[in-house]
Amino acid sequence: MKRILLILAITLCCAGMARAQYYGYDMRQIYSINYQVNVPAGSSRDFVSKMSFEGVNVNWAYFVTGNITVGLDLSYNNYHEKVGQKVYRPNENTAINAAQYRYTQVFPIKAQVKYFFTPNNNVKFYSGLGMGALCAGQHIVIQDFDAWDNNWGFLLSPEVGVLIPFGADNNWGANITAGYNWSTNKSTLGNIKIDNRQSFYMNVGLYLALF
Amino acid sequence: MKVRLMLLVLAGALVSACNWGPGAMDETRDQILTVARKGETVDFTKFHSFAITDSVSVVEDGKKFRLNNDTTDMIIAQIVVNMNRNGYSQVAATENPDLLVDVSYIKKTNTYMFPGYWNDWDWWWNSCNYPWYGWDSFYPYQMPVFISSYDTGSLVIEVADMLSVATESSVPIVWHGLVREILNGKHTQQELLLSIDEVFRILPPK
Repeated sequence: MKRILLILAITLCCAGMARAQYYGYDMRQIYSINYQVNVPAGSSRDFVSKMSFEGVNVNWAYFVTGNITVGLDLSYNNYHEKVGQKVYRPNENTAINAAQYRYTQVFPIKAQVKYFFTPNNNVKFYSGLGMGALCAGQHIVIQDFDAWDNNWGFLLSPEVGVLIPFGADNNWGANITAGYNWSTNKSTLGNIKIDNRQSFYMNVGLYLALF
Repeated sequence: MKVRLMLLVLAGALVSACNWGPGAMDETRDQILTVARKGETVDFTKFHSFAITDSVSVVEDGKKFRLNNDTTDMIIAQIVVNMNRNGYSQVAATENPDLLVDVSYIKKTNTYMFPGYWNDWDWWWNSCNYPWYGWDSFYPYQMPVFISSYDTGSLVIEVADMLSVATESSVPIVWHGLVREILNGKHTQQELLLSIDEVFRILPPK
């Protein structure tokens, strides 16, 4: 948590220092809101292997040079999967046969630096790197029983994207991003060992640029 | 127009993304939970015969009574089939069985029940005319959290070690089976019978 606050403080300081300048084809800030899909990867797939179609993302970017922005990125994703009936043996003398409903609610929070390759063009391509924290709430539901585990991890997240304005002089348009989340979250809920969380994500949404 | 359409699609996608839980669990066979537990140090090879109740102990709002109808007959018959499959021969309660089987049905309860509250061994006691000598049952293992409180419509099958009656005042429940919420009115008769088979299959009393 301290690390997140430090990154946030540095980000805001950088933004403040750059306030008097005009960069990015006179753009100062970019806000975007996106629908997000995630494909789980790594050991987190052992808990829920299905793709998440329930995700939302908001992003704020502030130009500190002609090509570079700093900002914040928040997301929410819900992964869920039904695991059919299976016999579990907690010990030699107990057997439980049940179907499980597993779901994981994931909140990636990151400070982000982006590099715009073509800031003066209408269509703006960029790549970015985010660092922050990822909170994952994992649940195993059997009938009305709910076993859960909340875990936090350090998050590293590279991404590429493009801003496409709706018209040549419009300050708003479509945002499309593809990226990868890697975090150090650990869990052993339900004897399923997770050493880290990984996912490939895609954002599709709208951006608004402020001059 | 296209932009408005895109906005609508995005708004729909964002709203659908805000699903915070599992939602309604479907009432299918997948939602049947069975649990079996047996004594850790019990030597099942010493048991050969069993006797079973001809009625079911019903728990409803803190009251217990015994019930005998077509459904309970069917449940008991299916348990007999499974005991036979595991190599035990059925005898009358008066014929010194090695094992005694009782069946309980938690019809409705809103309160916590300690393990064993549901069972009722008086049927055997009365049939054997032993009113002067009582015994209690106990679990020679820790009851899992899963079954510390039972919900509506659960079926409990318990097998007591009658060879211990001669030497102990407390008789161990050497095998315990639970089919949770099977009799809640949402499952078929076929599912009920399959669930009884299943609880014997996942951890047989032998």
